[in-house]
Amino acid sequence: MRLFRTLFKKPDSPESNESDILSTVLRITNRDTNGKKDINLSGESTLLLNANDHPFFTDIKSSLKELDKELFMSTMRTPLQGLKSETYNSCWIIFESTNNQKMVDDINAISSHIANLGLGENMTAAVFKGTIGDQSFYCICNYRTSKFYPLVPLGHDMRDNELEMKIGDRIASIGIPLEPHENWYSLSDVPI
Amino acid sequence: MQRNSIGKDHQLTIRMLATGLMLLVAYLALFGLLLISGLNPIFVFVIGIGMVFFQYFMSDKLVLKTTKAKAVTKEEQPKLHEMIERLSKIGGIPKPRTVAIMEMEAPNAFATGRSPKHATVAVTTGLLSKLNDKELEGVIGHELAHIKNRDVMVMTWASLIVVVAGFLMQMLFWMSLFGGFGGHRRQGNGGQAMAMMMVVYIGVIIIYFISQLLISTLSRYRELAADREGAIMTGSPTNLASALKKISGQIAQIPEKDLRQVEHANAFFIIPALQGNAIASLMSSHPPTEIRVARLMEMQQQNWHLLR
Repeated sequence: MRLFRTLFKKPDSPESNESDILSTVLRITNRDTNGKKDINLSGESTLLLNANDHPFFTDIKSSLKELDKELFMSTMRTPLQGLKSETYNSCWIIFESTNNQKMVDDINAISSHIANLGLGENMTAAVFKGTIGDQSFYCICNYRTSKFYPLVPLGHDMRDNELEMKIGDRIASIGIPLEPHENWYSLSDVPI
Repeated sequence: MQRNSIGKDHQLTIRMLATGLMLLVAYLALFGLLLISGLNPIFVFVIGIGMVFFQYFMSDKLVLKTTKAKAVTKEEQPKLHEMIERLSKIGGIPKPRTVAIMEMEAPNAFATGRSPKHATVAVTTGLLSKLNDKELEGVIGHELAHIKNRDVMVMTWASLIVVVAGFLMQMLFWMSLFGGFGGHRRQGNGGQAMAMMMVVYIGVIIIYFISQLLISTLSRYRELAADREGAIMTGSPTNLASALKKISGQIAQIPEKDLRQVEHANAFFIIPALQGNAIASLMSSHPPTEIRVARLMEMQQQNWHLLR
């Protein structure tokens, strides 16, 4: 639980601020490089959970509907489809909004709620979709280390490591805590 | 196009010869121990040679099978084939019989085969995607230099002593377990014979480890020689230096695994235990990248092209 206290703001705090690690991702938005706004968040994100036989996961759609009623997560994508990963025993909760701040608030709220259910260890990562120039990338927040890293999938399990290095340098330069390179693990089936 | 009068690194040649001499001494010591032990040295060496022969003739097929490398045609990989063909001509060797690709994100390459005529060059898809054409040329040049220098043959036969000593170690171990080194069969001096066999056993173990060190040292020297030869083949030491930096640098640290495969494995806190370890570097088959890059840059700074 200590990890989540450091990761996220208190669920009842009125607005997110940069005291929580996840909100630092908002620094990516419309970053200038030589007068050009070339790196941005695209307004889609997902929370990756490692499922087990807890009732929350056995009927996750109902669980999330209940949560939605309670927390009013306006950015959570509904209807809730494609939640389960085919390859791993994991599931994704997808968020969409033009308001990145609101999206982060919702992820923080749902994360705190899931942690309060005693499922903190089941939260793997929050994944934010972004663009650099014309290229899409993911900015992944690893919940175990509270640090971010970029992922640029090229399909067929290939990645553009060079671009990832460049994005990594950029996000580190704007104060986002960067994961060491040896922990830049892939995610094969991100649904956004 | 062919460049046969390639400048030599005399210091490196002397070091290789010195390592070879030490290996010869190790061979003689092993032979001596075999004579003392009463085991038939010819029998032991014939078995060792048989094993090495198998390795020598089957190495290319075995490596291709274990790495799941797939042979590619000129139509499938025209650029790679053209590059290998061109550099082979410059190096004065026939184009390797097989060009193969391994579906692997980690950037890597290898050359194998018992002779230039039976050679195979394989590269990973990661190498093709991560390196630019010049850097790829540097790596291919290095691999072709291994073929030209007949490194598979040299290293396979040099490692005969390790194979023989390893075989002997196992043999003596089982003899000690089940027959007490055969001491009870030796009339009269059972205890003395057993002590003698213990000395032989310890001697073989020492020779095994020393030979391993010598083979690793020789391998590192052959790598440096291939770096040099490859750089001369491509005409630019910086191509390989840049490729090595890219391959072994931060990009190489990026893992291939999925986050979900490792999240419970404490992988986030593990520091490779052997990194920077002196013993590990002594046993390493490749010299440290910093040394290789430094030597290549030194070559670049000198009027290295005048060596051609």
